[in-house]
Amino acid sequence: MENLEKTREIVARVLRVPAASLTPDGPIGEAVAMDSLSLAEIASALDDEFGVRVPGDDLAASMSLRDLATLVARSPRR
Amino acid sequence: MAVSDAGRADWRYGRILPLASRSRAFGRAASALVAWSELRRDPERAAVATGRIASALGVSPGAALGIYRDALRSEAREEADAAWFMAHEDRIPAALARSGARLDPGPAILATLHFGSPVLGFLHLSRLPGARLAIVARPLDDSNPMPRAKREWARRKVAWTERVSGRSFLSIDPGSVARARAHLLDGGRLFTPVDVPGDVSARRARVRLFGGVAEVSGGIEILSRLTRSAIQPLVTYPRGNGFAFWYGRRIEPGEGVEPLAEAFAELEGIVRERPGEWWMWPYLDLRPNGRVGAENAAGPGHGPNS
Repeated sequence: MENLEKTREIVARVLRVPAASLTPDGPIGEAVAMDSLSLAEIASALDDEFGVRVPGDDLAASMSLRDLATLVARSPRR
Repeated sequence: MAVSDAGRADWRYGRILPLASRSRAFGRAASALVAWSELRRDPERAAVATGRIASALGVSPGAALGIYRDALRSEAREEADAAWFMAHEDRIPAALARSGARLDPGPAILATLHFGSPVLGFLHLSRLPGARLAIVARPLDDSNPMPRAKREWARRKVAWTERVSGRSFLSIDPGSVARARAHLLDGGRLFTPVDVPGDVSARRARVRLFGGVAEVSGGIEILSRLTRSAIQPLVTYPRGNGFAFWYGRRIEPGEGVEPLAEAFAELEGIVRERPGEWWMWPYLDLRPNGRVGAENAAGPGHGPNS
C-alpha cells in the first residue's frame, strides 16, 4: 500500500520510536507504549500529512499500521 | 469504637443518600454531618488541606479549617442534591432556570473544577439548544480506588447522568481521547474537570496557582492545541435552592498562548471568591515556584468522585 510507509514514519515520529519497531500488521499499542493522548496526536499528524479527516470513532490502540493506512485511504479529504 | 472507612462509606452512601433522595432539606442538613465525619476520619488529610488553604489564601489556621470543612460539606451536599434530583428529574430545569448558563458559539473545552455542583452543571448545559456537549472523566475502575459503597454510588450517578444527558461519558483511554478530538473538530464541546493532579495522568502541566506551582493533568492543553479549540473556564455552584454558573474569560488558541495556565489563572479567581466550594485542597499540591513534586501528599485515587 502506497501510504503504509508514510504512515509508519508518522506514527514513529509521534510516538518517538524507531520506525523499525513498528510492524505492518501488529497492534501498535502492543509494539510501543501509548498513553491516553497518543492516538489523538497520531490522528492529527495523519490529518495534516494526508490532508484528510480521520474518523475518531474508528481509532483504537489495537489497530495495526496497515489498519491505519487503510483508514487514511478511506477518510474524507479536507 | 473506631468506625472503618468502609463502614463510614456504607453509612454515607447506603444510608444518608437514600434519605437525601426523599428530602432535599434532609440531604443539605446531613451534608454538615458527613463533613464532620470526614474531618474526623482523616485528620492527616485535614492538616494537609488546612495548611494549603492558610498558605494560599493568607488566612489563619482556624479560618482555613472552617474553609476545609465547608469544602467537605460542599462535596457531600453535591451528592445529596444529585440523589434528590435523581428521584425528581422534572425539577432540574426549574432549579437551573436562572443560573445564567450559556454556551458561546464554536467548539470549546469547558474547563471546570471539582467545585460546587459540576454534574448538575453538565446536565443543564448538555440540554441547552445546540449544546453538542460530551463529558470526559476518569473511569470508575481499579485505577480509581475508592470504597465499594462509594463506587456503587458513583456508577449509579454516572449511569443516570448519561441517561438524562443522552451522552455517554468519554473515558481517558487512547480511543476515547481520539473520539474527544474528533468531537471538537466536528464543532462539538467537551466538559471536563481540569484540576486533576498530574500524578494520575500520563502528561503533566505546571500551572501557576495561588502564588505557587501546581502540577496537573496536561491533556486538555494538548487537545486544545490539536483542535485549535478555545478553553472556557466555568463552574456551577449552589445558590439558594437553585444554582448559578460562573464564567471566566474564554481563552482562544493562538501563538504564544498557554491555554491551561490561563484557564487556571481565571479559575483561581472563583476559588478565591468561594474557597469552601473547591474539593481539591487536600489533593492538589502547591509548591513554591520552580519546584514541583512528583507526587501529591494525599496520593492519587482518593479524590472526589466526580
